[in-house]
Amino acid sequence: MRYGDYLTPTERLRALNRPLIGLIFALAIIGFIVLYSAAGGAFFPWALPQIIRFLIGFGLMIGIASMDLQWWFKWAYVFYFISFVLVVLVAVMGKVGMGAQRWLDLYIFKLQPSELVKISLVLALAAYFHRLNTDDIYKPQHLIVPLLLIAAPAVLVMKQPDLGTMLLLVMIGFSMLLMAGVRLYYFVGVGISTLAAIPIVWNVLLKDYQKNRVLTFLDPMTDPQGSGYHILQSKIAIGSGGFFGKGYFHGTQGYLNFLPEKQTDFIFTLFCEEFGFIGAILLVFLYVCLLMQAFKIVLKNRSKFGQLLSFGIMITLFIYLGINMSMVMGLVPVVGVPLPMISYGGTSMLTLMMGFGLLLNADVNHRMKVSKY
Amino acid sequence: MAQHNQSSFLQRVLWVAFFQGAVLIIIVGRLFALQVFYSDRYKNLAEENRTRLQIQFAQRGHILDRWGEPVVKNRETFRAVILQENLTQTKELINAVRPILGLGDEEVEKIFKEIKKRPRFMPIILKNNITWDQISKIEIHALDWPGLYTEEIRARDYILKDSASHLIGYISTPSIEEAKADKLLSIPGAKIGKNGIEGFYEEEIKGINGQKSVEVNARGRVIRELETIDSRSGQDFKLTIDKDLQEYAGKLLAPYKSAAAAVIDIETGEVLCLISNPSYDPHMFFNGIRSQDWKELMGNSLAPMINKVISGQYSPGSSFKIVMALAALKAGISPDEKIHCPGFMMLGKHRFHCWRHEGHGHVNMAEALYRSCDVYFYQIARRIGAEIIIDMARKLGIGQKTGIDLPGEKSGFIADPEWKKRVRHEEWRVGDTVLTAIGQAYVLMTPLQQAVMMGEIANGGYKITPRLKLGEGKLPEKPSLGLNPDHIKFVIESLGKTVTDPTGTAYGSRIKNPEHQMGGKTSTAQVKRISMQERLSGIRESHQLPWHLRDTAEFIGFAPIQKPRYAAVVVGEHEGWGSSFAAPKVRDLLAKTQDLMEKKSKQQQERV
Repeated sequence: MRYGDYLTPTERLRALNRPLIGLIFALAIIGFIVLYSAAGGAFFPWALPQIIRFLIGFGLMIGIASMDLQWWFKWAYVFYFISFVLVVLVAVMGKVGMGAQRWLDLYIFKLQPSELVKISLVLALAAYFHRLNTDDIYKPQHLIVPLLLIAAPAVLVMKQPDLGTMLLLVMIGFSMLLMAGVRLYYFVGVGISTLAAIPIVWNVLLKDYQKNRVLTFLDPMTDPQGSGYHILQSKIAIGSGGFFGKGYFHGTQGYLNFLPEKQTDFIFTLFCEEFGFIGAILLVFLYVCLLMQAFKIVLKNRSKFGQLLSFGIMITLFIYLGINMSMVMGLVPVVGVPLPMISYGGTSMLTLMMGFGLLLNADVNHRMKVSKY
Repeated sequence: MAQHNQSSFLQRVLWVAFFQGAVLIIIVGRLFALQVFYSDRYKNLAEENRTRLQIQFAQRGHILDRWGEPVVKNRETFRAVILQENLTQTKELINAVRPILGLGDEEVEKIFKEIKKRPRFMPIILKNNITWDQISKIEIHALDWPGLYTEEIRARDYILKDSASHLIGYISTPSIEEAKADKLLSIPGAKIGKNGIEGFYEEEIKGINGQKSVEVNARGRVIRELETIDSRSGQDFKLTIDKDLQEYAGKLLAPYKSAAAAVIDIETGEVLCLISNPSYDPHMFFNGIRSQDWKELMGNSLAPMINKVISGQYSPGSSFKIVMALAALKAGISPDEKIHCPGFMMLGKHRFHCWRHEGHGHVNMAEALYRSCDVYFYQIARRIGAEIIIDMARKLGIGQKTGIDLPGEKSGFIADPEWKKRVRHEEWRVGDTVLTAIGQAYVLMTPLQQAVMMGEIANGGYKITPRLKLGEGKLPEKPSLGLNPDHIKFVIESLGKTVTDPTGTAYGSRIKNPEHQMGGKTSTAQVKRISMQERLSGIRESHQLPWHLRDTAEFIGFAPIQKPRYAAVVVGEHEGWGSSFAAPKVRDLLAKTQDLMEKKSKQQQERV
């Protein structure tokens, strides 16, 4: 293999990061196991669809990984544009689900474009900063485009209203800006103005149920049968699992429906209840391994595009799992964020697998020089 | 520049890595706290979440009379109930079933209050005691409304209705205080025995509740049963009461505003009937009494909720002459000594009247008893003094509870010089002793105390503890009161003449069957002069003054005079003369008692 050389698809396939793929498989299998238990020991309604989606997603991932990194660079904005249009479509004609417009019924499965937009945002920002001259990053006028790239979908998503995804987009976007080399005092400035904006956001933008979530987070015991119910029941499930867990199929909290949305956002609680502290530590360990693999890929990439792309995927993965685990344990307010690879959900699985595809791609092509044009 | 940029990138990647490490450490720490450190707490919470205890109320024991005839039975009734968690349109449902159940605006309002108050998995009662017709209509509606159903409940049938309410009591929904004291009682459907036998023997009658622990889901719906302990029915409770006699006594007193009566077996202390008028319907408490009914009961100056046999305190009047005779004999007064009664006695400037204006002439002790001469006992009282009289009164139970197995018994009262000094700050005068002699001054007795006193003399002088629970097997002990048998014999014979002697005060109330003949003592207690009585009895209101000023008619009797077995008391508040009101009623009661007891024990022997 020569430096900066172009690899053929077969070469790329052969060079794929096998430990990373192994970890992805391990997590997916844990997901199937938990979903099987969540349904009371049945493949339906969750485990089997999840397996099918994983297999489709796996194909997608390999496909993406075997493509040319330069190609992804070239089409990054197009992808961003397509996913943005989908978000707009949802806003215009999307179906109402859970009191919020998030779904786009594609007849095969319900697409949640706000998930897709996370990956395309990473792609678009990586492409933008790759193209930018190194010194231009210190000029504020060059931050207008990336800020618009972040803000456009974020505002739309918030209107859906989906506070969680909005926050994720902003966090992913800002992490990318940080990694691209934007001056630190900009972040300090943004931080201060965010704090100043809190009262406005609270009074003008937040819906009552969102306010409730924050208030409940601050004091969940005030109304154990009301808004604090989810957090309390979720903590009971995790805590009652104890060190060794109640055993597979023996979780009472999930089985008896004390857990809200146990198959999606709260699946970690079900897992913790049945497999205990030991199981939870194992799961966290698997994620840490995955993150470390991603870090390796970030560091060994020679091209800015590859660096930022793999960093973006890594940080997305981290934000997902960090927020999900924290929220089910009552560390942060409940926002709709799935646990990567474990939670039931079509778009999130496909998005993740696409992200892993890009990560693998950046890995195999880490020596490649990506042309700016 | 590129070099600098690259090292800055590496630096920032490291920061992010550190940050991520910190977040993950917090997450693992939190996991440790929840799953290891506080795990026990959450395990308990999960268990509480998962299981719920359902109480299976035990069937209360039946209550039977002394012959095994049922007096209180359990009855099954139905009620219409809704379960909110299965309902979406509660308002519509209630409007739909309203006409079927005939719910008034007030009741509907109450139901909506309950709906707001109770958790969604708790059933809410729409209406109790629904008819078969209503049941079938509700069942038809239940097909459209999954949260609506009918439920079977155990009610209590008081066969004697209001003629034994004070004796038997009732069951009702526990009060908030009771529910606080015993958590089980806060469960919907819990009932508690109150007053009378139902209250006094609650523990024996209620049985042992069973329990079922069930696994429930988050909505409170039962998933499966985990463990069941069956309930055990309460014991059948046998009363000493004769049902027919109780009913008879009820009818006997029914026409009168405020009266009390009791018959006791003086050998065993068994109470054969016990009745207080006016009464109340024990059924109206079952589902919690309506506030209107309760106000009516409490506002009634005749105190229908009070069991006057044990809680009403009256001046014994001339009945106290029995105490006087025994005290006099003990003090060494000869029964043959004659004292002249001109119709009054002077004490200083005060004139103490005999009830008979023209006087009784020269009377001995026996005559003074059966003709009820006041002056004779005034004179005796002056001679023997207060102390010996009060001693005898206490020996015969005045001022002490009889110990009957009913709640709310009062002890009666007799004043002594020490009490007068302490409470009234006055010296005891001879006039006080004189008034005590005819049971007027500071003497109060419950009707039951009077009957027991009569019985204790008629049975030859041993203590009676009246009871309503029929004892199995051996008779209770017979502790002697330490009275001279000759004195007792004399008093009994004299009291026999009250009825048998043509000059006796109750000659008109003879029992036809001479073998069943009774003896006794009439009493007509004044209420005018004694203000203390009202205060101590505390059951009368001042606004009824005209009726209130009338005398209280009393009679205590025993039968048969040859070999006394039963004692009876009748007290008619403000009904006038003891001889004309109370004596005939005691006669009827004692005659009926003896007839019934002879007949039924013969029947029982034949059966055996």
